[in-house]
Amino acid sequence: MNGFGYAVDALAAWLAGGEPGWIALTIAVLAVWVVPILLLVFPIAALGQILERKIAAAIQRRVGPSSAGLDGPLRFGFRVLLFFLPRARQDRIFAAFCNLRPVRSLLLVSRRLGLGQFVADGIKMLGKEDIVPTGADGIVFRLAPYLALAGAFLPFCVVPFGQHLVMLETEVAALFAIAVSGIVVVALKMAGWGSGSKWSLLGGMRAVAQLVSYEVPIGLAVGGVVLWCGTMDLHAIVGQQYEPGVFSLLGWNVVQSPFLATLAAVFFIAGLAECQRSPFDMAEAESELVSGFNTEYSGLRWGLFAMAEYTEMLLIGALLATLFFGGYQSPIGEEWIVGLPVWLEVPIHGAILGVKVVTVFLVMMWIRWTLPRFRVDQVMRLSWLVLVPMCLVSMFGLAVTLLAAGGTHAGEAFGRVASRPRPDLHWLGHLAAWAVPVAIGACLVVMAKKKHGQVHPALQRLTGGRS
Amino acid sequence: MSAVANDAIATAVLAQFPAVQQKHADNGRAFLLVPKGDLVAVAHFLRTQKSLRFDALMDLTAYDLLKYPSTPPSDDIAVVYLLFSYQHRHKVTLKVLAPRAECEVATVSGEWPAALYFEREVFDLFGVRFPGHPSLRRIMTPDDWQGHPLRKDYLYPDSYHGVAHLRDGQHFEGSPPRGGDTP
Amino acid sequence: MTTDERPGNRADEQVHMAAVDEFLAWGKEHSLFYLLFATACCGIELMQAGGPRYDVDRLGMIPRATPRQADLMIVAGTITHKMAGRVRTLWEQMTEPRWVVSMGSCANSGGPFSKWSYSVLNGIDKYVPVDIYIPGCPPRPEALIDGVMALRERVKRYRTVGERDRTPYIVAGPEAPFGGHCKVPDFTAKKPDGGGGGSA
Repeated sequence: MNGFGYAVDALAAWLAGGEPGWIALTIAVLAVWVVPILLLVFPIAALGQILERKIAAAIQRRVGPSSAGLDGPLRFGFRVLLFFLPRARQDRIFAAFCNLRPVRSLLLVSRRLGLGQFVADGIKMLGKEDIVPTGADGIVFRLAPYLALAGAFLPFCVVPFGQHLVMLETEVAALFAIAVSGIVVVALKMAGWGSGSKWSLLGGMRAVAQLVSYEVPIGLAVGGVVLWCGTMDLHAIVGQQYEPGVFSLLGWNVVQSPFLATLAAVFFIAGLAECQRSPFDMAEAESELVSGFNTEYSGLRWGLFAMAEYTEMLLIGALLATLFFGGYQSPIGEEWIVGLPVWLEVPIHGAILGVKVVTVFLVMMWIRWTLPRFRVDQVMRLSWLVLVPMCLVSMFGLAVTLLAAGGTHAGEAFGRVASRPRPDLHWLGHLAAWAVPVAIGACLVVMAKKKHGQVHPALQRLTGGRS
Repeated sequence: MSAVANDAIATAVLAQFPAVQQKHADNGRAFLLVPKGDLVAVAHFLRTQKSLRFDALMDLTAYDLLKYPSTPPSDDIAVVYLLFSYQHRHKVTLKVLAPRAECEVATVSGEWPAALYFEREVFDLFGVRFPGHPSLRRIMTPDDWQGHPLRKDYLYPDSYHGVAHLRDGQHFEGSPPRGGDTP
Repeated sequence: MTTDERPGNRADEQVHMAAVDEFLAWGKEHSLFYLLFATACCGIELMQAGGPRYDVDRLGMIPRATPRQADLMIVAGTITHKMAGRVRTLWEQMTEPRWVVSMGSCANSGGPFSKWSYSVLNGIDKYVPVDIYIPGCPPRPEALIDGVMALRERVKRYRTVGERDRTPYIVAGPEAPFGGHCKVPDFTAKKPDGGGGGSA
């Protein structure tokens, strides 16, 4: 095989009916790598904006966008299709079509949901004046948004969307995802520097400081999973989490060990910071820096930055699901879904991963519209003094657990993926792995209560004391 | 540490600076009229004297005595200092008269750094200069503004940089006289 | 240009780009991002218009902090001679197509400061071209939304080619016959049943 990953190779071989030539390979790469990105990630990222505005509105007890429906794009479609007719005739036909009862209801619903909002925003950005400031470094300024978008999209190559839909199957997938998403740091720095504005520069500096700091806990969290699973191949990590039987979710990494659960929490928090989302949106703090690194960006280039931000949120969701929450696996009855034929298996698995990603996405928005912003020094302190030590302790705990487990038993066969051997933990071992850290935590709480007379009010309510 | 009575404050200052006059004020504060030359010394005394310790300059403002029913009639500009002691919880008002023609009062920003901005404001709006102030620039009006607007003989400008103040055909009964462009 | 003004004969309808242009105008109409900018008490009403009760986000309007990404500048509040230059700078930093709404008496004409002030600019239209004037001191959010709706009509007619409509539009006050949302309830009228929770 050519080593473009299972799906590409198989499709190319099927197209060529044997050893694939470059035409078959190109078609296969387009079909397997490019089209899924365009069809899956791009619309979700675009819909993410309208979703975010609707959720923000719901949290603030507003209605949210509800004037832009799909009538504008529909009218444009009619104009293009009926280009040979005079304008008045086009209008009459369009009006007649819109007055059909189901169409009218659909248009009303789309307007109420604000479904056309992201179309309107995108169209408006296309039509905006394109400004490159006088003091800006033209090439760097123009290149930065594309790099940011590339850095956000490229890691999706190694994320498995299903048994047969992985764009790039490689032994170093986890490393690849982290390394490639580092391009965003360069892009933000370029945007800040290239704009020739002090607000942009400050925002860019903040972005770089924050992103570089939070790549450490992210890397350590991924390292913990790699330590546990014994592989960096994301698809193999998904296969590792397979559990036959009804309750497939018992095999997920996040329930294997409290240390992995801790790493999942750390990964999510650090992921929030990687996406520059509130409460970590230091880089575009509107009350301090005008709009941070994208102060000087207008129109489509700013739109690309926004798209990159939403794509990165999706990426964090996809990686979180893949590393800790069983990837594309269903929580119940995975055994039967794996056995399905390809044409049925891929959409089901893709949808399950989509649900997981969107859930993470929604939690991120919930957090954004609920919490205020950290200060710069607090953000740094959280990374270096809280998250990194938590990661190190968790990795140590994982290593000790693996040592204590002693042996490994062969993994179950999981569809196409050759599952690696898993640490052999008796059920007593599982119990101990959860009980010991929980007991230590309880001891710490009791000791803190004895020493200071009180603990945090929330903990106090949990432990039964008066708050 | 207890508040010192108004008279006691005045007595303490008068014992040190005989040229200072005590005046009566309706607002229950000690009220001292300080000669121009004594101001910095009095300020230093009020801030550093252990029993007084006026550690906060609450306000520094001014008013124009022109057309003011004072006896004898005067056209001076009065600069007013409102002091407060967070330590002793007592207050005092100082007043300095600056002649209109040579309108200068020594800066107290050496005693209270808060005076830096107050003095810029008084300079901007009343034209009182404060020798010793490190950077006495306009603070409210534009840097190239002409005149000091809160003086009673200030002539309102017709326009600023050629942009007319009133709209076309706009006229108000009894509005102040206007004239000139600023700058 | 032809003088025949029958539908279909105008230049912008003959050019094939007209459909695209119309679509662009639709996008602009439904996504008027406004500049996060207020100088006085009108700003409070502007903020309230973004709040849950009036919610201009319904119309696709969200605030942007930087003028580069804003389409609409709502001059809300008193503009002094010193501030006017800054407003002009902000307007120049905005990207085309851009619109300006003058909100409140101060921005319209100096308002209560026009007679006795030496420093307040009597009308921001001396510095930037204003599309919509909204009277009121300050105008209620309903009036602001009325102005925005009028502006949306204008944005809908905006075309990349051709003349741009620059005639100033003044939003009518509460006494205007149209716009039921602007009607002031008559508190002096007696209730027909003559009781039940009214003011004694």
